[in-house]
Amino acid sequence: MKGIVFTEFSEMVEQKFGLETLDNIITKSGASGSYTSIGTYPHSEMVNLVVALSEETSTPIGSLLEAFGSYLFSSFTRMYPQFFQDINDPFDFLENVENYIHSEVLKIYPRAQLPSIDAIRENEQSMRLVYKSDRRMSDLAVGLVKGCLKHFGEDADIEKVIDENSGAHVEFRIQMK
Amino acid sequence: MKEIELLKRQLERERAARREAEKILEEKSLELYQTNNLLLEVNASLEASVKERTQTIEESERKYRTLVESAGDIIYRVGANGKFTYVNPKAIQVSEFSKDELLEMSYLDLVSPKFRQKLSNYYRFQLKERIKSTYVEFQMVTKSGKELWIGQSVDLDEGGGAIEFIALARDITDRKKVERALLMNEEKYRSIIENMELGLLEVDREGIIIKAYPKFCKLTGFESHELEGRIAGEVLLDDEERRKMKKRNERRKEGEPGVYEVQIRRKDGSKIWVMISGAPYYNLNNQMAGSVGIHLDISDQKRTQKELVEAKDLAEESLRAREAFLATISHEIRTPMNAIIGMSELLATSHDNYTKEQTKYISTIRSSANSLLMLINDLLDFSKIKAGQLSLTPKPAILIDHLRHVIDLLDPKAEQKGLLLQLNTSLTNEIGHVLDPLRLEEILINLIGNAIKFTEKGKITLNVEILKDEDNTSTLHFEVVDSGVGIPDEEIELIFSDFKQSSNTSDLNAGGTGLGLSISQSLVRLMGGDLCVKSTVGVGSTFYFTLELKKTDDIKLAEDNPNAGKVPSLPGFNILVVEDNEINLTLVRTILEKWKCTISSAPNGLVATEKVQEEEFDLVLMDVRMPVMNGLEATRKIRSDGFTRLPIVALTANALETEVRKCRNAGMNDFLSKPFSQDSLYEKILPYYNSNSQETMESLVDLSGLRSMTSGDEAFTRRMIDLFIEEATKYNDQLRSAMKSGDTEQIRKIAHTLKSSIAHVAINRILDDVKEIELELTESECLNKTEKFSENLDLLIDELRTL
Repeated sequence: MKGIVFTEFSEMVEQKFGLETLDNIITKSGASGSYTSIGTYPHSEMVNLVVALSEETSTPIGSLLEAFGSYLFSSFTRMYPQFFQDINDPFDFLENVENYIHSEVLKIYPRAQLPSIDAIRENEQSMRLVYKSDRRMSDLAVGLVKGCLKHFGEDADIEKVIDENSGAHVEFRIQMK
Repeated sequence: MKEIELLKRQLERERAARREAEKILEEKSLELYQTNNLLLEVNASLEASVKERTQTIEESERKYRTLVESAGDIIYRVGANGKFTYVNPKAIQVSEFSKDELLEMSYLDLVSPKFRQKLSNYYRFQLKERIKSTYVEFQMVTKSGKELWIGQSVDLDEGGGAIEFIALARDITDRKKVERALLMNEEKYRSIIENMELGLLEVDREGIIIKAYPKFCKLTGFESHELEGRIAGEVLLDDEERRKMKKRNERRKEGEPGVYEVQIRRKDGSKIWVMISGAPYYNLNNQMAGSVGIHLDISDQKRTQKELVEAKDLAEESLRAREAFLATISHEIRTPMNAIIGMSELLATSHDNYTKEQTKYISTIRSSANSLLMLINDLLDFSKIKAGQLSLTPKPAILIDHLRHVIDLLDPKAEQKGLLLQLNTSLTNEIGHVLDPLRLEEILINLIGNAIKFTEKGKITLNVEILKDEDNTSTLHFEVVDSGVGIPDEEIELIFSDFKQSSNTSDLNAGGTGLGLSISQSLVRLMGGDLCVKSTVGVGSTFYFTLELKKTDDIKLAEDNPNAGKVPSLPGFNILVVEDNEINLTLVRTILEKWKCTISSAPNGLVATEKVQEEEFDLVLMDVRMPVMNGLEATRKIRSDGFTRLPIVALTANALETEVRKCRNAGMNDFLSKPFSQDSLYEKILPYYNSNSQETMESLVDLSGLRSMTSGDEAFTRRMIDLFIEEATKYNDQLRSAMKSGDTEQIRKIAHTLKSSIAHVAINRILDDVKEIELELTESECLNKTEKFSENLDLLIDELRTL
């Protein structure tokens, strides 16, 4: 898993729950806690960190991942403003994820294992989003979508339509309000 | 304190992260450096190989350039705008422009104005359709204004980005000249032939029409497209014509040219006759590719030819009719004449006690009848001469015998007038000559007869002088000299004319038709001489002619000729006389023994049938009315016993037509009425003596058919046989030429024509042959059969000639 996820996670935990909680979950989970955004770390380490945070804060993992997704999105807007130029609509952005953003990421990190995000626009107000990843972190994806909506100042109902393969294949319907 | 520990740990983690990041960066930068170095190396090697390639290209370009520069053909490049971008030295040499001038010019500037538009369109099309390569021929104009024919290949070159034309061109002016000369030559002959009203047709080996020329189309009424691609024979010919053509085409395939006539069916179904001159033509490999037929419309000629043939046939037919008529008339007149002569002879000797007056009457009847008979003979001869049908029958003969015969014949007449008739000649009976002795006698009898007629006192001499005696021929001069009244000069020219007699005759009863000299002259001419006369009025006349006669050693044959001597001789002729009347038998026996025949006799028919079984006879003379078994019955028995070819001649006193028929029906060959003269008996039995001597060979002749038609008139029969010989000889020649050309159609036509006349004179086997030929046999069978038949026909003709 890309280092940026770990560095941003660490920053969010420090920001939202304090340095002590961060230190606690690192110690508890047995993770190194030392991350650079250009490095690559085991996926299990992230899972352990999230589980430890859930126990520490008595918050469900899903909610935590969703919150992290929303945080991560705002970090992306800050760190990679070139992806957001000339895009004024969350659906336009989501449609670009697979073909534009992921392919740009692969240029810098050729070995990155990215989820597949297929965005199908059903009408002007509705979009189906197909998530496929062995990492089974669709909650993180929902958080990212919410961050996206928030970035463009939109509000929408996100309904999980399909959940198969223990979360390896999940489909959402995003209905604009 | 806890705070500090916490921060310390955090700091430691941050440091570790930084170091890790630095390490990653260092690794990345080393990786980058190494990749860069690798790239540099690759670059260097690339450069080297590019350089190498460039050198190779330059090298080959130099090679090509040298090639292009020294090429014997014009090579140039032209941009899409038509301007020259490259010209080789040959281009400069041919165009006469300098290189610099050319590079400023468009290729069209060099093209002759009459080709400019065409060429411009042509290459625009090539460019538009991206056609890789083209070839075109056109005329160019050089700087000095010379016009040259150019053959040019142009390739499109898209290799270097901008499209260019690469042209390879050659001066083909010489070739064009030759082509044009050839074309003009061909056109010249074609237009000559087309203007000659000759229809040209080109067909391939299979007979499929390749080209039908306008005149041929006009001839047949077809359009050329209706003919081309079709099989000539199927469109233009009938089945029959096609069959004929097939055979000719086989020969033409073998390369044999030929001219022949054929009937063509026009589009409207009408037929025209054309003469075709066909000749094969060959392809470049010298194999026969087909043939050209030149057709000339000969319908008009054919029509004329047909009309001429019809006219000729008609003329010949009427000539034949005339001949047949004359033959019939001759028969009709001679028969009663013979009766008159014979009866008056009988009358004269049948009684001893005639009064002087009665004897004179009988003698007058006889001499008048003889004159009349001579007159009729003259007329018949004359009409034959007029029809050009008088022909000679030369055979070996001893001339002196015939000269003596003439003298003996006329001596009594001369004596009557108190004239001396002499023969002067050095000829002996040891030399044989080939001539028609009877006709020569006729001439001399006529000349001497005239001499007697026109001479009152003195003598008449027949001089026959040998002018020249060579190994094979004798030249003889014949002269009849009289001491008569002579012929006035002004009449000399007239005496050989028809129906003319000298007026200078003291004998007003001289009589005659006036045809004698005319006939004699014709006969002498037929023998190769010319009858002339010299005369002095009051002194006498001399008629003379000269003949060149072939000599022959075949004196035996000449002696055998029964007509050669005065007394007939038939040695070895074995005759059975069937007669119940002793006196008659003795008479016949006396005559026949005088002729050296061997005689046996039978008193009635029954004995005759037995005798025939016991001995081989050449002839039976059969009385009709006899006791025990009559002649008719006996004849039927003899025939049914298998003696079908044994000649039986009836002797009967009953001269009625019905009796004659009865004899024929019974199977008798001929008929002689009693009482008969020696001459007529001789005449009756002679034919069987002649054919008797030939019996070693199978006879092809069977005259029973003809005889039944001519009712036994031998003279008439002879004429018919002569007619047949003449016609059959002609048809046999036609058969042979038809066999040579394999024209079975013509063979069948001739066979059909011959069939009916052959039935009259030939045995059934020959008749069967000719019938078979007429039937539809296969071609080869027909030809074989015809060959055999033709040989037999020759034998038949020969045999008929000797009868």
